[in-house]
Amino acid sequence: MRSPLLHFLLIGALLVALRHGVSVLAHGTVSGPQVALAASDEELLFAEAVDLGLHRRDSLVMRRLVRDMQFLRGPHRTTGEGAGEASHPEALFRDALALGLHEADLVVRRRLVQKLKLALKAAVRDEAPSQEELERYLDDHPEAFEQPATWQISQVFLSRRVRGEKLDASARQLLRRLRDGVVPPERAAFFGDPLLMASALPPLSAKQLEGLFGRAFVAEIDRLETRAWGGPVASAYGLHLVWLHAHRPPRPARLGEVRSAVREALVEERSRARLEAQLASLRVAAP
Amino acid sequence: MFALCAALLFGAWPAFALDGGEGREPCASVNPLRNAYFGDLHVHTTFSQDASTQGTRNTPRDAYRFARGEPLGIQPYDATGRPLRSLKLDRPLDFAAITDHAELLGETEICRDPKLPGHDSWICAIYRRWPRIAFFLMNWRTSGPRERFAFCGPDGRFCLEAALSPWREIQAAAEGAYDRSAACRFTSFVGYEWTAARDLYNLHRNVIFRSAAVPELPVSFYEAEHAWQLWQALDESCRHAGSGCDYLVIPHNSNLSGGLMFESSGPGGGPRSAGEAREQASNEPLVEVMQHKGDSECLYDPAGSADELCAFEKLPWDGFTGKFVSWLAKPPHPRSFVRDALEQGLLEQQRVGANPFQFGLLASTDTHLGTPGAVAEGDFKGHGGAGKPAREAVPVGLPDDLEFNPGGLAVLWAEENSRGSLFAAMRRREAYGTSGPRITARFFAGWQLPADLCERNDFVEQGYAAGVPMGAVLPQRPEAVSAPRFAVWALRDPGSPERPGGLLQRIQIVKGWVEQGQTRERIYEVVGDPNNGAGVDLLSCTPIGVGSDDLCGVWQDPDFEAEHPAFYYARVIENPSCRWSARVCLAKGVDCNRPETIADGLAPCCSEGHRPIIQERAWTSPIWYEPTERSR
Repeated sequence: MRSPLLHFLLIGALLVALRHGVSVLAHGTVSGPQVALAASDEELLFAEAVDLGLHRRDSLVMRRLVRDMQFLRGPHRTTGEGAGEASHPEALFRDALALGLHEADLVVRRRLVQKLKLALKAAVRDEAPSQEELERYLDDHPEAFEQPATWQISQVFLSRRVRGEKLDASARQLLRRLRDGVVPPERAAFFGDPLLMASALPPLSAKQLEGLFGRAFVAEIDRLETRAWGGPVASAYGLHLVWLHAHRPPRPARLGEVRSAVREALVEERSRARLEAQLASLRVAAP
Repeated sequence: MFALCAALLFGAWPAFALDGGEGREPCASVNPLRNAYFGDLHVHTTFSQDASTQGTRNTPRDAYRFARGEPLGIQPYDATGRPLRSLKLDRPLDFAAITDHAELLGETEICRDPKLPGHDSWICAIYRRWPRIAFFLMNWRTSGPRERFAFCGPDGRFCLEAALSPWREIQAAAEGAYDRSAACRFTSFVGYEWTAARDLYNLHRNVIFRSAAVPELPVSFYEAEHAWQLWQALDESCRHAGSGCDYLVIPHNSNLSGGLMFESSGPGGGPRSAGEAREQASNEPLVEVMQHKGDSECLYDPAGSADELCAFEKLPWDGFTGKFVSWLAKPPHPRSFVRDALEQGLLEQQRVGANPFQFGLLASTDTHLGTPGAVAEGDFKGHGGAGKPAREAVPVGLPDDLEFNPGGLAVLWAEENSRGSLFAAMRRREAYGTSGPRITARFFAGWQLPADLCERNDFVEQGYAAGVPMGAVLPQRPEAVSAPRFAVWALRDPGSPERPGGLLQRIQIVKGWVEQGQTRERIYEVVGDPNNGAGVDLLSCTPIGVGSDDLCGVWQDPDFEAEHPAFYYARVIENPSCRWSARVCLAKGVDCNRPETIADGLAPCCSEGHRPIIQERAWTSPIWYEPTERSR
């Protein structure tokens, strides 16, 4: 009873039992077969990984199991001058496998299941999708790759910090001046207050404009007429008089714009389907 | 059987290839004066053991989808695999890097590693010569009618190739997330964490690669035990590999390094040489000053700094062991902090002529949930790593241990949102960090910056033309000029209707210098009002008082001495606001005067160590002044 190995195995068995019990309790309203199914899929994959011998060749599994054995037998018996042949890492690894430690170690189990999933994904990647397949995937999932609407604006800023209570009146007055004087956007910034961003901005999406000015700003400029001074539009910093150069609505992506993303999405979809198919065959073959 | 073996022996063994080229469409939007891009360069997914044991199932691909604005489920998961919690960013990030621990990403095949037992076995010899035959021999125990090789491919190669390594998956996810179109909406970086420690003290560093050209395997703590060995190995496998690979290294959590992160000795154990100092500064141009596991800027302590703002998000121990083994806990070490390292760097420069700690500052999260950029105080789901587990159930009470925080963001000033441009910004240290809010901050210094820069429409143009930006070294002082001038401008986080950005309280400039062989520091209030009376109503977490939407100041160092080497960095401070923990305690109805309201898991709300009010902030990278011979 003094053997650390026995203690380890007893504690491990207790923890596994407790874990399963806690898992069931935590999902008390889920039906029995659903809980059993989820747990057994991981078990099936682990068993498959072991059957394929992945546990015998993974250097990280080896390191962990050697460490587990060193812990069980005690460092004084497995390292240093007192250690014999049986303490050689290869021997410790062999003994750990013989004891079935790879089945008890949660990290090893997770690692091997992960390896198996990665192997399957590598196989899917190897079947590089063709141009036609990528185009078809894009056609079937246009919303996932849609290019967002953009607005291209120039803006003249009036600072709340500088103008204080006169901000609203200043903004309305300047708007009249810009409209009456037909001031082009490239010369209008001179009439406003300094701001730590450009007066002429490139086409930006709603999210990008939100990041600069705040969300309310985007809703306001969407109501503006193009190629005319509009506003004042409020931002987090003050008021802006805005010249809307162009608004482009959302549009479907061209494959050239999103090729990598489409390829990855297709690989992901195929990997999931392939894994489910393999799990189905493993379930059938399981005792 | 013989025919099958022969077919496998003489058949093709295809290589596993990614599209690693840097070919891309030019970005449609290029700003020569640079834009601020917000991102997270410290993200863990299910490929990190400390994340997966806590129930994290999100993959690198999931993390990038989250960074780009998609909702994401997180643990715990129910029996059908449905996540019981979810998260979504209010605003997508501009860039991110997945930095899983390298120690689990590396080579997995014993037969390929001559240092491992079993490498010389007969089966491994066969494997190296005839991999496919070896696969069959290794699996001779198989039995049963079912397809044995469905997972591994018909010839088993997928169970033998290094393609099993998560490292390939991380690269593929980065490739899928990187927007190579002219829209340039998102940039991914391939990276990893080098998980080094000494005497249980944290010496962790993240490695970020410039492009898709990366080493075959990441250099982990198994291969390189010291930082200089890491750089050497990366030079061999990356910079000198002829593939166009380049990298930089970002240390983090120096607050948990027991004073070891910024050591005074070089690789040989003795004082650094000038070359070694230059090598360190070149390979580590940035430091992560804040993340889930605390702030590392400075220590508010008699042995540290008298700067009260240094009490922000401090972990109470000198190393992580203190969290788990109370009798080993020691207070934070003064040498663990970034400001001290910047000062030590000035001393080293005086000693050997080169500064090993001439680094810029940024922040990130260190999320172990696979949720980059989830920094909102109002929606903290926890660190997902070393703190409260959420594997089996939603944490009761607070979502994580009190001492953790939602982390910060990295901000880069770059011409466009592409790998080349962002990496160049990191390399020249034109970067800053925030404690979470999307504060925009510009910082310039020059000998002839106009004093009225804040009133001009060409603040940025003048900053570059007449000065240098954050991260740079001031040029040689003109004889007629007495002191450098600094210009700093910050905009508050514009926020969203659900989460308004905090008002700014003030901007400070932190100066460190060396005088008569001693390091000194001083905090200067540049603009704003530290006594503006702003506060927080703790009964509702509503901010009280006035503040600023933006602050701008031009400042000249009144104490400048030409013979004193110095650094200056700007610190932008928001008005006080409720910490994440105070928000949770409030939402759950905790009243520390009424014990019956302190439910399970909420006792920390009323603990002595709880600081319910914080002041969010941004730290710019420093600008350095180096005296010339003429000045001495």
